[in-house]
Amino acid sequence: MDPIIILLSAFLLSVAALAVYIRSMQTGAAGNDASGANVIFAPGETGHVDDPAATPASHQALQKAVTVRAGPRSPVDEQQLAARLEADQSTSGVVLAYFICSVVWLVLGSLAGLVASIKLHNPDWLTSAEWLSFGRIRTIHLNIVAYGWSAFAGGGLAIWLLPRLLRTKLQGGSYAMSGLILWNIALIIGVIELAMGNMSGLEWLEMPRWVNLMLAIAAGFVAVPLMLTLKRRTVDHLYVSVWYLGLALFAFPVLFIVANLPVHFGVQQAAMNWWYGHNVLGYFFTPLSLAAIYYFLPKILGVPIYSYNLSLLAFWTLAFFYGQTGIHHLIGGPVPGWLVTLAIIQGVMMFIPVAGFMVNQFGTLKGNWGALRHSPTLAFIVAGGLMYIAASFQGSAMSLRSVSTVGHFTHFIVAHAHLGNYGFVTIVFFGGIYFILPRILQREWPFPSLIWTHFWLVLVGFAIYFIGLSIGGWLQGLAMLDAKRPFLDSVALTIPWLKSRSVAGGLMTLGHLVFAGNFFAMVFQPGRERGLEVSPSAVEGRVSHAS
Amino acid sequence: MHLELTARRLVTGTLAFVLLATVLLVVLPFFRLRHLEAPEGLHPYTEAQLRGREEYIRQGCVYCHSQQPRDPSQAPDMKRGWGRPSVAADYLYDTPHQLGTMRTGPDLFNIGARQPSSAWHLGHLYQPRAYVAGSNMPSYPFLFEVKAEAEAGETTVTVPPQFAPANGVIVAKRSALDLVQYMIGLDHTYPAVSPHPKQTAAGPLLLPTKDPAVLADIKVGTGIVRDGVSATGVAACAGCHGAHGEGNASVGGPRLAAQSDLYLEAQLAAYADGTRRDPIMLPVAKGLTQDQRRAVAVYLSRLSPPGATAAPAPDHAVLERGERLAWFGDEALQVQGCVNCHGPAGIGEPPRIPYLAGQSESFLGASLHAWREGRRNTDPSGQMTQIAKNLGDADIAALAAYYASQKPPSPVADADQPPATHAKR
Repeated sequence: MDPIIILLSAFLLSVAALAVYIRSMQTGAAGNDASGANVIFAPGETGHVDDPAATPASHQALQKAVTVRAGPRSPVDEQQLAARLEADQSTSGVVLAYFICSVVWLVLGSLAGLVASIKLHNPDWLTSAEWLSFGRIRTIHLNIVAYGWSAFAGGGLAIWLLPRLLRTKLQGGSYAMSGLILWNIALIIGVIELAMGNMSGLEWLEMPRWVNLMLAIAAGFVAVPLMLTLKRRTVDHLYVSVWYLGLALFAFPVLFIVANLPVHFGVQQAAMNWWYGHNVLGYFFTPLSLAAIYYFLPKILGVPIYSYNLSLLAFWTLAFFYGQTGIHHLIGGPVPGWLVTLAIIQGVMMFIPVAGFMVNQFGTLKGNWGALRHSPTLAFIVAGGLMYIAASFQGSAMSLRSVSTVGHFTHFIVAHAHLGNYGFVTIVFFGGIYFILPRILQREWPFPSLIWTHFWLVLVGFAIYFIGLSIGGWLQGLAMLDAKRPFLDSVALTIPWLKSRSVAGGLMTLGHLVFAGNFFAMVFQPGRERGLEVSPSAVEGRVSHAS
Repeated sequence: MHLELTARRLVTGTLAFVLLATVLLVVLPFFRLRHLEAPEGLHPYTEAQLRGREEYIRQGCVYCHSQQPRDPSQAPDMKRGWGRPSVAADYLYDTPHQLGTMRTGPDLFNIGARQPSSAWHLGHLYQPRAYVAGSNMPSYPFLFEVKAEAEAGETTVTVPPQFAPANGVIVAKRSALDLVQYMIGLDHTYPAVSPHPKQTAAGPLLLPTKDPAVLADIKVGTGIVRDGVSATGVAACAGCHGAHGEGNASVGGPRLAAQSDLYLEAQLAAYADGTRRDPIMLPVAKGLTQDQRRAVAVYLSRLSPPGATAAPAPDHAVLERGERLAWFGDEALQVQGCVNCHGPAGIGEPPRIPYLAGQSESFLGASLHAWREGRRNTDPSGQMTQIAKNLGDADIAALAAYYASQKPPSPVADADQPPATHAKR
C-alpha cells in the first residue's frame, strides 16, 4: 500500500470522526441522556451517594454536599440491591486475592523505583551488587509496577466490575484464581531473570520470551471467566465501562502475542516495540482505569454520567486513534517517515476522546465539587481523571515534531509516562480499591484517616515528581539542542531535579506503605462487621447502627 | 445517532481497530523493510562483538544511551560528533534493536569512531568519574576483578590513583572486554548509501511486468519516446532525453529513466498549465493527451539504462561544499539539507520527490536557477523556491557538481519489493 494512501485515509477518517463529534455536540446528543447511563443504578437509587470508604459522618456530609438533579429520592428497588450483593459475593474471594497481590507488588515496585531514582544522582551507591545496578533495577521497577501492581489491581477491578455491570454472578472464578497463581509464578521468575540480566533488550518486553508465554497463558485463564460472565449477562444494555473493559480484554492478547512473535528485526522491531509499549497503556491500562472512572464517578455521587452519548463517541475515537500513535517515540529516528507522520496526526486527534471525557467529568461533577472533601474514593477518582486529561493533552502536544525535538531523549518523557501510568492509572486504582474492599470484606476500613494520609502523600509526592522532572527534562533537552554547550551540561543541570524526584519518590513510597498497612490491617484484623450492607439503603442502616 | 452497543459490536469493533493499528505499525513496516540490503561499509558483528552486545543488553545500557543520531535539521547530533542521521539499513544486524529513547548519556551509534581506545573504555566502565568528571553513569566494578597480580593473557586496567584499589591490580573480565569490543565496533561513519554500489550483473533495461495495463502503457510510451506524435507535432523525447531516458547533457535534457511515473506525469501537467515554464516542453506537453502522458511516464519510470558517462572531476573543494550543502544544508543561509526531501545522496523519494543523483551538472544548475526565478513553481509548500532564493551562484554550482557525481537509482520495483535505497528515514 502506498504510504500516501495510508496517510490520506487515516486523515480522512480522523476528520470524519471530528465531524461526527461536532455534530453530536450540535444536535444535543451530548446532552443529558439518561437511559444507558442509569444502568448502574437500581430503580430509585439515583440521588443516593455511595462511598463505602467514607466514615458514617462523612457519608452524611457527602449526601448533603451532592446536588440531587435526578428528582426526589425515592425507595430503592431492594431486589436489585440484593442481586448486586450476590454479584459482589460471587467475586469477593477472587478479587481479594488479586488486590493482595497487587499491593505486595506495589510496595516492591516502589522500592525498586526509589533505588533506581537515587542511583541517577548517586551513581556510586550500591554498585557492588550487579542486580542493583541502574539498568537492572530500573527494569525490575517497570516490570513490577506494570505487570505486578497495575495488572493485578486492574484485573481485580475488572473482575469485580463485570458481574455488577452485567447483573449476574461471576462465572468460572477458579479460572481467575489459576490465572492469578500462574501469573505470579511467571512474574516472580521473570523478575529473577531480570535481576540476573536475562533481559530481552526491548523496553516493556524485557522478560524472557518463555516467561511471556507463561504470562500469556495466565492471561488466557483470566479471560475465561470474564467471557463466561459476559455470556451470562442479564442486562440488555452494556454500560460504557463494559466496553472499556472489553477493549482491554480483547486488545491485550493481540498486543502481547504479536509483540512476542520471533519475527521482528532491526528498525521494524523498533516500530513494533513502540506500537506495543504505547498500546499497553492505551489499550490496556487506560481502558481499565476509564472503566473504573465511568463507574465510580456517577456511582459515588448518585448522579448519572453527564452525557452518555459523548462517552460512546469518546470510546470509539479512543479505540481508533490511540492504537496508531506509538511511533512518536521514534520521531527523528530511522523509521519510515509516513509512520512518524501517522503517529503525529493520530496523536493530535486523541484530543477528541479526551475532550469527550473532560466534558463528561466536569459535567458530572458540576455543582458537586464539594463532595470531594467527604469521599476519599471520589478524591482519588477525580484526581486520576484530571491527570488523565492532563496526560493526554500533554501527549498530543508532545507528538508534535517541534515539541518532541526538545522533549525526546530526556527525563521529560519519564515525567510524562508517570503522569499517565501513575497520576492517572494508579491513582484511579487506589480509589477503586478503597471502594471495593469494604464491599467484598463486609467491613470498614480500620483507619479511615490513613486513607487521606495516603492521598495527600502520593498527591504531593507526585506533584513534586512531575513538576520537577518536567522542568529538569525540558532544560536537559534545550541544553542538548545547543551545540555550543558541552553534553555534560545536559547531565549536570538535571542533578537537582533528579534529587527532587527521589524526595518525591520517597513520599510516594511512604504513601504506599501507609496504604499497604491500612490494607493488611483491614484484611487480617476484622473490624466492625458490616452485615448485609449494600448501598444505599444499607448505608443508612449503617448510620443508624453506628449512632 | 445510534451508537448503542451490543456485545457483538463491542468485540468486532474493538478488534478491528486494534488490528488496524497492528497492520499499520507492525505488518506494513515488516514488509516494507524486509528487503533492505546492508550498506557497503556495514559489517556483521564478530563473535566477541555479539557477546559484547549481549552484555550491553544485560546491563540495560539502552535505558540511558540511544543509537540513532538525528537529522541535522532537527538536532545538532552531527555537531556533537555522533554521526550522520542513521537509516534503516544501518540496523540490518541489530536484533534486538537498541535504538533507545533516552540520552541520560550520549548517543553511542558511532562511539567506536569517536573513542576507539579500549583502555579508555575499560577504565571508564570501571569508574566513569575517573575519566568524565560530573558523569552520572553507574560504575561497573562487577565486570572487573581485583587481583594481587595479573596472569598471562589478562588485561589490566589503569585508573588514576584515587580510584584504584589499595592493593593489587584491576583485571577486566571477559564480559567487560566483549562489551568494549562491541562499543569499539560501533562505527557507522560509512556513507548511508554507497555512491558506487557493488556492480551487479546488468539488470534488464526495462523492468519486467505482467500487468496488462502497464504493458499497454509501455507499448504506447515506447512509440512516443522513439518517434513522437506527428499528429500534434510532438517531437520524439529521445532527441533530448536519450533513447532510453538516460538524458543528454549537451542539450540540457535531464535523465528521466527511473524517475517516478507520478512525478513525470505531474511535470508534464505542470508544463502544460504553465506552473513549470519551458518553451520547448510547453508544446510537447500540450500535444499529448492525458493517456499519452501517462504512458510515457510509466515507460520511462521503468527504464534503467547504463549510468551517464562520468563528468570530468570537478574541483575537490567545490565537491565538498556541494556534499555538505546536500547533506546538512547551511544554517547561515537558512537552507536545509537536500537529503531531507531528496533522499540520501539524492536518490529521490518516490513518488513525489525526484532523484537528483546522476543528473548532468548543466541541468541541475539550470533547474535551480529556474526555481529561483520562478520559472518552476511546482512545489506547493514553496520550499524549493525559498531554498533556491537563499542559495548563491557558487552554492548552486557546488550542489550541481556534487549530485552529478552521484550514481542515479534504478527503477522502483513493483509492489512489496522496494529497493534497499528507498527505505525512508
